[in-house]
Amino acid sequence: MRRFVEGTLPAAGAAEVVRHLLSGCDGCRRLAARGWRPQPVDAARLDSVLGRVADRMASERARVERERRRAGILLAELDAMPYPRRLLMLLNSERFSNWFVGEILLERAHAAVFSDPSQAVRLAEAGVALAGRISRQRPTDRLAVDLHARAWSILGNACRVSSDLERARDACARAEELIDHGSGDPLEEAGVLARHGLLDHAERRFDDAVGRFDAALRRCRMAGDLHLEGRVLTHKARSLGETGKLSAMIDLTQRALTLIDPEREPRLVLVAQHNLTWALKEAGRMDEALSLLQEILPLHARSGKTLDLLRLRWLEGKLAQAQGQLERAETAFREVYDGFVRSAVVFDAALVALDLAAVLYEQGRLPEMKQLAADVLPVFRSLGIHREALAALALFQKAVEQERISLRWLGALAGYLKHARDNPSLEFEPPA
Amino acid sequence: MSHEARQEGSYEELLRGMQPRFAQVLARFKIPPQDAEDLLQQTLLAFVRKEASVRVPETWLVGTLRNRCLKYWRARRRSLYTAIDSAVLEAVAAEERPAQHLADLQRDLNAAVGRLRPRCRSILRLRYGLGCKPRETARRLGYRESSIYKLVERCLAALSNQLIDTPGSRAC
Repeated sequence: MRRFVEGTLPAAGAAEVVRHLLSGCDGCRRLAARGWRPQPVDAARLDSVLGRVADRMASERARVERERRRAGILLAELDAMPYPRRLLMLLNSERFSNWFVGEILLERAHAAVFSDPSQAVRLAEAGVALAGRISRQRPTDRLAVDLHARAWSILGNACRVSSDLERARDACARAEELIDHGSGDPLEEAGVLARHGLLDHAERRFDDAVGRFDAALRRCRMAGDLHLEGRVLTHKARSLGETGKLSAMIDLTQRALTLIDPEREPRLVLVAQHNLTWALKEAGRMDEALSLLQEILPLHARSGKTLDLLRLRWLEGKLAQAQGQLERAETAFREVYDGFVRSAVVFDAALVALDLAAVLYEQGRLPEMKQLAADVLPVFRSLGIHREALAALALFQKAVEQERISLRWLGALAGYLKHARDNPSLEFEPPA
Repeated sequence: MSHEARQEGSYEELLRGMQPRFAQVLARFKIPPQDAEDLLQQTLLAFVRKEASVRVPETWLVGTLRNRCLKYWRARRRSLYTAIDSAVLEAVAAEERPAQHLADLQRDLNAAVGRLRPRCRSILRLRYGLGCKPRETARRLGYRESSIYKLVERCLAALSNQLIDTPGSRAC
């Protein structure tokens, strides 16, 4: 019966036990249940276990340090190789089976995800190859499983940012499957869940995203990592905002800002403050939005990141537009449009062009709107915007030309472009 | 205690301070002693490797151990459900058994399944009576394919509870 309860009894024996239990034998039912109610751990025994483990931990630390030092040498060697050879070595060479090489490759992939998504994909692929190899070599090592799961998850995230959603989906699913068999490190699980949540968000499955962010939050709390909790709360708030739950978005972002450690991730503070300003504006709380904007302007100016500054200027324009200061809004939108085009941030450039079009429309300046629509199409073509988005912008130009445009039409196109950014196969359906 | 500070000291001090909390977690989850040692050891060795990325070691250690305990019971429950499921499938499919034997088994199985909630009754009757795989079950009963595996597992948990009281399993 004990072996049956533990799941180690061979199938034929187990079938007999089940057959017997089904017949309703109370004695055996009680006996089986006892297997699930073991005695609590004895304190003296736990003391001796901890003593033994402390020694093992010290020797493990020495081994880990050796492996970490060796990783530096191996990485220098790998960095000098062209990508295909690097991948080949990671897949096949015993010498490179080093946990920290995998960890550093994944850290690099994570860091490159926004600045150079295709490089992030390549680094994450290398990480997947190496972590898979380590995992196969050490099939019972749960830390190797953690690394393998993290590698797939970071690959999924890099694919999401590169708009390869199908591959991102497969990679995130693989990561989630693996992490279930990992070491139980809550931070590792939180990372996998949060990155999957970001993919859900990109695919507009906001309920799934919120579910995954909640699961990630539970794990952040389990590990006592307040900063990570703040980061995941920021993600969750954004997903809630997308479903129109603006006051929840505001509350959660405010809470996130109390948890985020600015020294650990200064940009995250700016992102959260930016999101909060946007949510306040959308919720019609203009005074609060404007006062927060004044507060964060100098912080953003100090951060000095061009794209962050452009996004903030964009938000300034939107606030001016919402207050009916259309001239100020127009100036801001024109600056931001030029900035995004110069930086080749194509979807944001398209979205700000639509904001500019809306401002012109509100002032009845149709000829200038026609000029804008005619000007932007070749720009986006040269920037390599994907086919469906280009087709949508061509429809926009046509609608402006035929004077069939309306604020509703512009809103529908802006909504489409936001979704199409992550989903190149999405088609635009103009409003009737 | 930070990672750098501990480089100078030993793990003994950290573990000594943590002992009551480890004991509390292991007792709360009623982990059998031999398995408790394994879980604790694996958690502590994982900490050595991940120490540099852990902000609050004490909380991380307790959280990870707790998570391992949850996974431990989940894995044990799953292996029990699988054993019961395979055993029932094997028992109902055994052609060499006498007809009376099969009739008795069918009656006992029907009685056990009959005590479950209607949703589980339908799922398990399709599974054991008609040999439907989860995908076919989802199609016949109008469930989403993505959720049917979880539903089948819950029903197996409920059936297992008819045979053995297992801790932490959900009523179905």
